Amino acid sequence: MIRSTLIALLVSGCGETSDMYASEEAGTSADLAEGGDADADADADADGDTDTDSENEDDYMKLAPAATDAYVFVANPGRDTVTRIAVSDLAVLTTDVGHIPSTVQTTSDYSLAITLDEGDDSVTVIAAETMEAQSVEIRDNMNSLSLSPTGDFAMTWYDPDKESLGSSNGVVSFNEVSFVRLDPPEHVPMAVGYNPKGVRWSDDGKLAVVVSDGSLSVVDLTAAALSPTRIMLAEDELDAPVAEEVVLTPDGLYAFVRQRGVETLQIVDLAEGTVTPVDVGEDPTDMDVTPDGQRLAVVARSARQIWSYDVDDPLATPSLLDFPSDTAWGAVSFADGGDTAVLYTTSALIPSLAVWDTTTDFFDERSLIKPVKAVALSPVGDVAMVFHTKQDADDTDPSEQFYNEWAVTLMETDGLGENRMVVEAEPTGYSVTDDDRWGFYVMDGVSTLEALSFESLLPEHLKLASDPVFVGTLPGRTMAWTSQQHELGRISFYDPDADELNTITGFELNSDIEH
Amino acid sequence: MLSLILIGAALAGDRELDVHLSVQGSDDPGWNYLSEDGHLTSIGLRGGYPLHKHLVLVGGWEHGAAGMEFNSYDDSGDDGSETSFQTGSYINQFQLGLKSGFGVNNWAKFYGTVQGDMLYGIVRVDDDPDDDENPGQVEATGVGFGVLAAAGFETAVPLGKSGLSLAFYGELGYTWLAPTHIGEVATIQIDGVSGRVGTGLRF
Amino acid sequence: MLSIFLIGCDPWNLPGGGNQFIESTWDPAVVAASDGVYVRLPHAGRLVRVKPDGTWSQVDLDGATPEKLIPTDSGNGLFVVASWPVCDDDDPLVVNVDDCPGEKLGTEYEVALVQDGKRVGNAALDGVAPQVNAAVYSHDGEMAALYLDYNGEEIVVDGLVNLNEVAFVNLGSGSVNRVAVGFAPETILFTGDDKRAVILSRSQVAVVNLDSASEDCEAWDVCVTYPLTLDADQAVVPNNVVLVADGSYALVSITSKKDVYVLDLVNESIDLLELDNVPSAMAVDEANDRTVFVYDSAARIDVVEHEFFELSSFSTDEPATSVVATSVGMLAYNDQNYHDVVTFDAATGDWHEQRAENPVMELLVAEHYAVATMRPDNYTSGSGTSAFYDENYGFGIFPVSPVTGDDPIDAISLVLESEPVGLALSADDEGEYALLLLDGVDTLLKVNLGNASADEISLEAPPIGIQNSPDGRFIVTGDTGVGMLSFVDPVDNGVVTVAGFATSGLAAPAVLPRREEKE
Repeated sequence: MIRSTLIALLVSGCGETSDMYASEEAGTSADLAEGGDADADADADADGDTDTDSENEDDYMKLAPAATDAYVFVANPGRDTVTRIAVSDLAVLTTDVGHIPSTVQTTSDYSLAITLDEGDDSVTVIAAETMEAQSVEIRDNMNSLSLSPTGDFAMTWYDPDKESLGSSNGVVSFNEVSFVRLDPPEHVPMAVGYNPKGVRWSDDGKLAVVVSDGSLSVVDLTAAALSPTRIMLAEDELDAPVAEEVVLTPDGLYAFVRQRGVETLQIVDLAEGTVTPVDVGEDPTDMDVTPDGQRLAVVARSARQIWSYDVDDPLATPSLLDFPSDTAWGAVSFADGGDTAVLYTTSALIPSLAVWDTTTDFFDERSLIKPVKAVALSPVGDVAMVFHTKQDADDTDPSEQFYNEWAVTLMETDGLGENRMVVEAEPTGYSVTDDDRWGFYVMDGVSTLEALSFESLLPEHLKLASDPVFVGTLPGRTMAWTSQQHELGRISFYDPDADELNTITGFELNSDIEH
Repeated sequence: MLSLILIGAALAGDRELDVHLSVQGSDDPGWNYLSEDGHLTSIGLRGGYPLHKHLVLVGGWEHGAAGMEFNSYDDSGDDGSETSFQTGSYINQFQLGLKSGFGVNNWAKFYGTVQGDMLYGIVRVDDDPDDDENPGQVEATGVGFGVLAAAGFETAVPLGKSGLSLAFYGELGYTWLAPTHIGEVATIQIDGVSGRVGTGLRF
Repeated sequence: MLSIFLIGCDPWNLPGGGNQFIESTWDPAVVAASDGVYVRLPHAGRLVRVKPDGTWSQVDLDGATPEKLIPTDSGNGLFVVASWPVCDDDDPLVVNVDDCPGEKLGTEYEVALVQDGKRVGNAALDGVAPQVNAAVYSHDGEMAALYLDYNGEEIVVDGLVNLNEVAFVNLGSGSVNRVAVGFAPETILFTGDDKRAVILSRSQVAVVNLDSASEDCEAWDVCVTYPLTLDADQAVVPNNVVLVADGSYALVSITSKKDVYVLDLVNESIDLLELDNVPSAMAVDEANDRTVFVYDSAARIDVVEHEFFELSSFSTDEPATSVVATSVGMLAYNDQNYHDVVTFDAATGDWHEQRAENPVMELLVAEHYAVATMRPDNYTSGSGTSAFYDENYGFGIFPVSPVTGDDPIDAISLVLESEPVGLALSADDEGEYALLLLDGVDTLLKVNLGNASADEISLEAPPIGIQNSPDGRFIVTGDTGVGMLSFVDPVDNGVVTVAGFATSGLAAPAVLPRREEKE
C-alpha cells in the first residue's frame, strides 16, 4: 500500500496527461457547491449569482510517469531508482538516482529525464538513451519541480500545500528556490518572493518568472550568473491577494496576473519591472493565451464576458465579447491547434458549455446531460471529451438515466455528432493523442482503459490486469500508456490502430537486478 | 559317525595316526557373520613320522563348516521388505610341523607341537536353497596361512603283541592365522585358542 | 559333521545355522554408466561395478563407504558421496572400527567422480559439499552442476552446511568451481550453448557465466541476479524453469503462485505473466515456439508465445496435472482423479481427447504413442467390465495423432496382473514397444504398441525396477538378497543375468581406513 501510494505521488512530464485528482491535491477545490455561497463572505459582487469557488483547470500533472516518444520513465521512490520502459519492445532499464525520487519529468527534446529526490535534497539528471545519471544537490526540502521548455533548466521549490515524500530535516525556507542548469548539472540557489508557488517560462526558455502571491521574481536564464529581479505585486508580501493565475506572453515581455478577489488584471512589464493594473470584467475567473500567442483571453464570469488583450500591447483597450447567454461560465480552454475554444464552468452545476470559434467569435452553446468536471479538447479542437460530475444540476429530473451517475460525453465541436455515456466509476485521468484521433481515460477502481475514437465517437474497452493509476499518451505517436496497481509495477501500452495492448509487469523488480 | 584311527603312542619316536575333534575360538568379526557362535569346530586327521627319538614330523587336516541365514530389510520400502539368503562356510586347515615330548613313564607323556597352518576356505551363498541352479549362487574360495602351537598330554595303551598302541590325547594351544580373503565375499581371521581331543594308533 | 560327506554329494546343500539381521546388502537404485552398472552395497560399505559380461569388481574408494550415487546424463561415470570413519586415537592396535572408543569415533565425507571403475584422479573432488544429492548436466555432457535438492531427507551437519552453493565440476578433468547462488537452489538449467547456467533459488534467479572467454563477466561469476520479490520477508520459491526463444528468455513458475516470471537473459530485465490459476505444469512446444501451461484446478490450457509473451486461453473438459511434448503436439493428462488425455495444438488451440480408464500413475511418450500405467480407481461407480477395470492396475496405449478435424484414434486399455513397478520404451525398425514390469512377477512384458500384443521375457527373480542403459539395453533389478541385474536387449529379447555381486564384503571386518593419511 505504501509503495502504491508512493508510486502515485510521481510527477508527469511531457505528453498530454491529466489527472483529475490533481486539482484536489493542489488545494483548489474540485467540490462543486450545491447552490448557496461557497465563499465565507457575502456575495461580493452585485450580479446576483451565487458566489462559487475558483474554476478548476487541470493544467498541471503530478504524480505520474513521464513519457517521451520512445520511453516511459517511472520513478521508484521506495528503491531510489528510475525505471525506463521502452515502448517498442518493453525492454526495461533501471538506474539509481537520489533518495526518494518523488517526481520524474522529461525534457521537451526527450534527451533527459529529471528527478527530484526529496530524501536527500538533490536533482538527478538522467540521459534518456544511456540512463547515465548525475545528481546535484539543491536546497533543503524542495517538493516541486518544473522544467523549462527548452530543457536547459529546472527549478525546484517548496509548496506547503503539497505533501512531501521525504524530508532531510533541514531548514524549511519559504523564500528559496533552486535553479538547476541541466547540462552539465549545476545548482543555482536563490531567494525569491515569499512562498513561491510555481514558475513560468518564456517559450524561448530565456526567461523564468517565479510566481509568489506578493511578487514575481524574474530570472534571466541567459545571464552568466543567475539572479532574481523582484517585481512586487502587493505592498505587503505577507498579506497579498492570491495570485491565482499568472500567464507569460510567449516572448517573455509581459506577465499577466489574475488575483483572487481583485477586479483588475495586473500587467507586469518584466523588462521594466512595472506593474500596471488594467480593467477587466467583473469576477475574472480564468485566462489563457490563445494558441497563436496573439491575445490573452480573460473570462469575466459575472460580467458574462470575455475580455481579450493584445499580447504585444497589453495596455491597449481590450476587446470585449459577450457570452451568448446569461450562463455563468467561468473557464476557457483553447485547442492547441486550430481556432476552437470551449467555455464552461466547473465551479457550479451548470450542464452546458459553449464552443467558441475564435476566428468569427461565434459561440455555439450546447446543453449537456450533466455539469462539467473537466473538458479535454482534441489538438485541433474538433472533438471535445467532457467529463461530467456525478452531481446533477438542481433542476434535473431524478428519473433521467444519467441522474446520479458518472458520465462522459464525446462531442464534435464543429458538428452535431455526440456520444453520451454513463460510465462505471469516476474518471480519474485522461489524455489525447497528438494526431487528433484518439482520447483515453481511466476510472477509479475499474480495470479498463477506455479508448475514444474521435472519428467514430465510439469507445473501445481494453481490459487491464489491474486497476489503472495514470494514463497518458506518447508525444508524436498514436499510443497510450497506463500504469496500473501492482506491488511490483505494471504498465501497459496500447496501440489503437493495431488494437494491441502490451503489458509489462514487475518492472520494479528490475531496479533490484544485480549485475 | 566317526571312524577312529588309532593313535600310536611314540614314547620312542613311533609313527602316529590320529583322528581328533578340534575347537578353535575366535572373535573375528568376519567369521562372526558366517558362524553362529564365532567358534570353528572341526574334525581332523593327523599323522606323524618319527625323525628322532624325541622329534616327530606331524601333518594333518582339519575340516569345519558353519551355516547362516541372512535377513536384511530394505529401508527404501514403505513397510520394509525382507530378503534372505543362506551361507555355508567350509574351513579346511592343512598343518605340518614338529612334535616333541617327554615321557612321564612308558605310557604317558607331555608334548608340544608347532605347526604351520594353511587354511583353505570356501564360502557359498545361495538365495534360493530350493533351487540348485539358480543364478543367485555364489561360491568364493581363499587361502590363508598361519601357525599353531599347542601343548598336550597323551597316553598310550598297548594292544597286545600287535605292536600297536591305542593312544588318547588332549592338547591346548593357540592358532595364529593371517587374514584370509575368501574371494570378495568374506575376510576371516580365525585366530584363537584351539583345543583338540583325539585318539589314534601308535606303531 | 555330515558335511564331510555332503561335500561330495551336493555342494549347495548348505549347513544349517543361526540367523543374521543386517543392513541391506545392496541398493536397487543402481546407476547405469557406459562402463557398467554401479551398485551401492550398504552393509558392506562398498561400491561395485557390474558388467554385462557377468563380472563385477569393487570400486576403490580408499576405504570410504558410498552413501549416495548421482548419475551423469551421458553415462560417463557418476558422482559418489562417500563417508568413512575416523578414530581420534593413534594407538596402532586400533585397527577396526570396533576397536575405537566411541567418543573418539567420527565421520568424514567426500564427493568423488568415478569413471571406468575408479575415482578420477584417485582422489575426491576438492571442495564439493557432501550434502549434494542432485546434479544437472550441460548439453555437451562436459559439465555438471551439483547441488542439494532438499526433499526432507536427513542431512548430516558436520560443523556447518552451506546451502547457498552450487559446485560446477568438469567431467573431463574433475576440476571444481564453487559458486554462491542464493539460498537453497531448487533448479538449474544450462543455456543451449552451455555458456551460462540459470539457477533458481529462493526469491531469486542467478545467471552464472561458465565461459572463460566472456568479456562481460568473469567465468564462474554470478553475472546477473534477478530478484523475484522486493520484500525480503516474502519467500518466493521457484519450482520450474524453461528456456525459450533460443535461450533468450527464461520462464520461471513459482510454487503456489499464479505468477510466471519472464526473465530476459539478453537485456537483463524482468516481466511478470499473471495467470488466472497456479499452474501445475508447464512445457515448451519447440515446434510452435510456445509455452503451454496446464492447471490441476481449472479445465484450461494457456499458451504463451515467445515474442511478446501474450497469453491465449483454451478451455478443456478436465483439469490436467502434467503436460509433455510429443511429435504432433502437446499432451496433457491428469495423475489425480481425472481421466482425460488431451492432445493439444498450441498453434491453433485445437485439441482432442482420449480416455484413460483409470487415473494415470506414469506416462511416457514414444514417437507415435503415449503409454501410461494406471492405478485402481477409488471412485469407481461402474459395473461389469468397467468395474473390473477400476479394481485393477491397468496399462493404456494412446496413439498420438495430429489434432485435425478427425476423431482421435481410440486408446487401448489393458488390465495388469499386479502393480506395475517399471516402465520403459524401446523401438526398432518393426515397431514401438513398452517394457513393463509387474510386482511379484518374474517376467518382463514387451508390449507391442501397435497391436497391444505382448512377449514375455523370463526373469530370474521378481523385478524391482527398470532403467535405460547408455548402451541401449535395459537394466532390470531383481528382488534378491545377493543382488541381481538383468541386462535386456530389446532387439532380440536376450537377457543376461548377473547375480551375486551383493555378496561382496558380506563377511568382513570394518577396518578404519586411511589411518596412514592421518599419521
